[in-house]
Amino acid sequence: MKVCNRGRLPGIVLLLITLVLSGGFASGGAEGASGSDLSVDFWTAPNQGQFDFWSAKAEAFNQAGVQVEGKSVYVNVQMMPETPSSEAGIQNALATGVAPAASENINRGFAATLAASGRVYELSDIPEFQAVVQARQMESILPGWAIDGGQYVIPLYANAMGYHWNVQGLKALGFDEDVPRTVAEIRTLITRFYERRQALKEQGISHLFIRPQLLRPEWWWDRWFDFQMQYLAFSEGGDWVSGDRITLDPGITEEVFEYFGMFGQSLQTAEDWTAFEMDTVPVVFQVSAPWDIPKYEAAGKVYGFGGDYVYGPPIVKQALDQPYTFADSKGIVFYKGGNISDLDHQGILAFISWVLTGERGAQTDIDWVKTTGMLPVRGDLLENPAFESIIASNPAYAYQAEVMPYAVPAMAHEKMVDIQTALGEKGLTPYIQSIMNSTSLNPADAAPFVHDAFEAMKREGELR
Amino acid sequence: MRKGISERTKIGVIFSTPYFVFAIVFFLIPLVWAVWLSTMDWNLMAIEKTWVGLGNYLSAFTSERVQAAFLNTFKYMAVLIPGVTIFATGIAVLLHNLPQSIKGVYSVSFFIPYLTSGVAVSVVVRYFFSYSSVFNTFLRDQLNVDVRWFQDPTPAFFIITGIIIWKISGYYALIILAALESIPKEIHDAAAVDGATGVQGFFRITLPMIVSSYSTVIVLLAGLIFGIFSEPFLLTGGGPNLATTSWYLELYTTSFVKFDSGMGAAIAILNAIQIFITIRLITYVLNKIDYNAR
Repeated sequence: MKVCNRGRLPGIVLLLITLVLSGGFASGGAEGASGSDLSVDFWTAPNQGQFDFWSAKAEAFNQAGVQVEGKSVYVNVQMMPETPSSEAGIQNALATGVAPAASENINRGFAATLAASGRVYELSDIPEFQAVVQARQMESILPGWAIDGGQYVIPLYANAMGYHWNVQGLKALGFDEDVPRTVAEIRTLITRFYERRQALKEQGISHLFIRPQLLRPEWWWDRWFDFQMQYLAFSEGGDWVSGDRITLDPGITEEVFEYFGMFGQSLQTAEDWTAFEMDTVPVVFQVSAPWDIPKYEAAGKVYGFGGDYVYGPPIVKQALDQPYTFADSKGIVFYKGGNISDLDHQGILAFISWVLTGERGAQTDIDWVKTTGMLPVRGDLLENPAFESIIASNPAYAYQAEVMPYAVPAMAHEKMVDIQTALGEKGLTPYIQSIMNSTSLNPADAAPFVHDAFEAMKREGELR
Repeated sequence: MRKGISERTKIGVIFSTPYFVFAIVFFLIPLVWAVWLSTMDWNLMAIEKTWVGLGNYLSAFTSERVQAAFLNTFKYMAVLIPGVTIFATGIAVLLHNLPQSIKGVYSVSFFIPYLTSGVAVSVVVRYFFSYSSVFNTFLRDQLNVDVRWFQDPTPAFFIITGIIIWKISGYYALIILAALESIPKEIHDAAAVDGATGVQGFFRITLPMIVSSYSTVIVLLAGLIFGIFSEPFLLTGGGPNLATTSWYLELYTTSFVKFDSGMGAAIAILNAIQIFITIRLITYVLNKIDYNAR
């Protein structure tokens, strides 16, 4: 029996291979969507907590049957790819035409890159954006998020960075009721640390300040949490970059370098990420990470001078200076791409608006804090009765809410990574290496290191 | 008169078609696309793309990072090829002389580092050598020795190469062990009858007979050295002063951190050219050595 015409066999094999490689046999279509439905994708940060949070919100929204142009909107929630990084995952999705209609987890710097690439919507004139701004009273906050005069991000959360103090260590160094706030108080702290070093060692405290990231220039993002935080405090909110011009003040930059230089031998550079969860905390302070609050609670740590740890602002030069700080902050952007239709865009706007406005909006933010430990960006955190119980549940949140107005997000510049890497690689890290053995409160002159850093930042960031 | 295509040829075409399709889809098209991308100033996201011709290549040639990656590859080779070869030979000889009953267990134990996560090893090593670690505190307090392991280019480079030697020697030892095991016992017996010592036997009989397996080891090693990534990525970020950076690290940083994908593609092409030329040179030299050994 003749099964197959041999002459046609190569062609059939080729066709089959082509079909398999091109995904011709793959099942298509989004789950849950039918002809009269609109299915849109929303990506969350690559962690289970935020994925669960947004999945719950999307499920509630999908059940509500919200319609756009006569179609029921269904939101599919996925975690954004984490490898090699969430930003690279979005880059890949945009390049290959599989980007979602919107995602959270976007900082201002990457949003600037997306905006310059024409891949995110400018939001200022969109009614849903205005409704969210009004509902969360974010009018005074938005200027800090602007990119080239436009708004591309719905601010979602902001962590005002500062210091996280070990109460036992503070008390051992004579700070019984308040944290050090000025450079003079830090000098006192360091002096006492060296004087009482042996006694502190017996209490299990080996170092004053833990910051291994100062020796890792390739971790460019950590310059937000050490250099930029202190620069903002010393300069009372000074910019890093404006347009194509570097606006850092070299003199204040030197002061920031030398502030870190003062710690010398008291600086702990071992990469120990659990120091503050131990029964005996081996250091006196670190840069605070508010997202760790649930972790400390789980470890049985109590906030306050009667407990285990307290937060404090960045160190200022003079007592009356305003402690401006860095805002570790991220938000939601809406993507433009060939695979995202205007209707998809309308559908995802409807979802975000549904979640963040009205009576539901406050509950969304309360659920957010409970899930992530991070405060939402709202102008009414301390006044809105809906947040009273959250703020009261842990005074660490009250501290965060209080300092948020002085928190400044990341620079909005396409070359942010290059600029921040250059500062660490050519300036801050070499300087810290030079003072590691010092016990002097007047460390080596930072001027040559600052000069090198400025040259490198200008070169790498194409700045004037 | 032209003859028709034979049945045999048709069958050959059928069976080779999958590979050709695979090669076209996964090698040729990406290669052509990468060459095209390398002539663009594009971050893979922007709607606008700017053609820059050879601009990215010129930037790469003048980039201190790319120059460092190029030179570091030879530095890594200079240390890793002899280091791994010697260690792998030592392990192989050790295993070869073990009783048959425990040879398998020991072979697996030397292979385990190869299976160990580079990430886990790097984290432990980073902690061990940090300034405030117990090890460093002991060196400073008791011996008055203060070494900045990851801040000084020389120790940073040797820590990374040390990890790689530890990690992969066991794997290459298996290749050399297989060659050792293939030498008939009678040859060694004959040499012993002629009065050859153990060392003489190793250098005059064993080594010439397994030299072709070293070709395999060295070529594979050279390929691996071009792909060094996780150790410098996790331990040093390529520093200090670019002393430990590698092609893949620069490729990754340029393409996926700085989003300069056109430049990243140019770096990838230059990397491929260096791999091609270097491997050709190595195989040429090894073939000469192999020929002379016969």
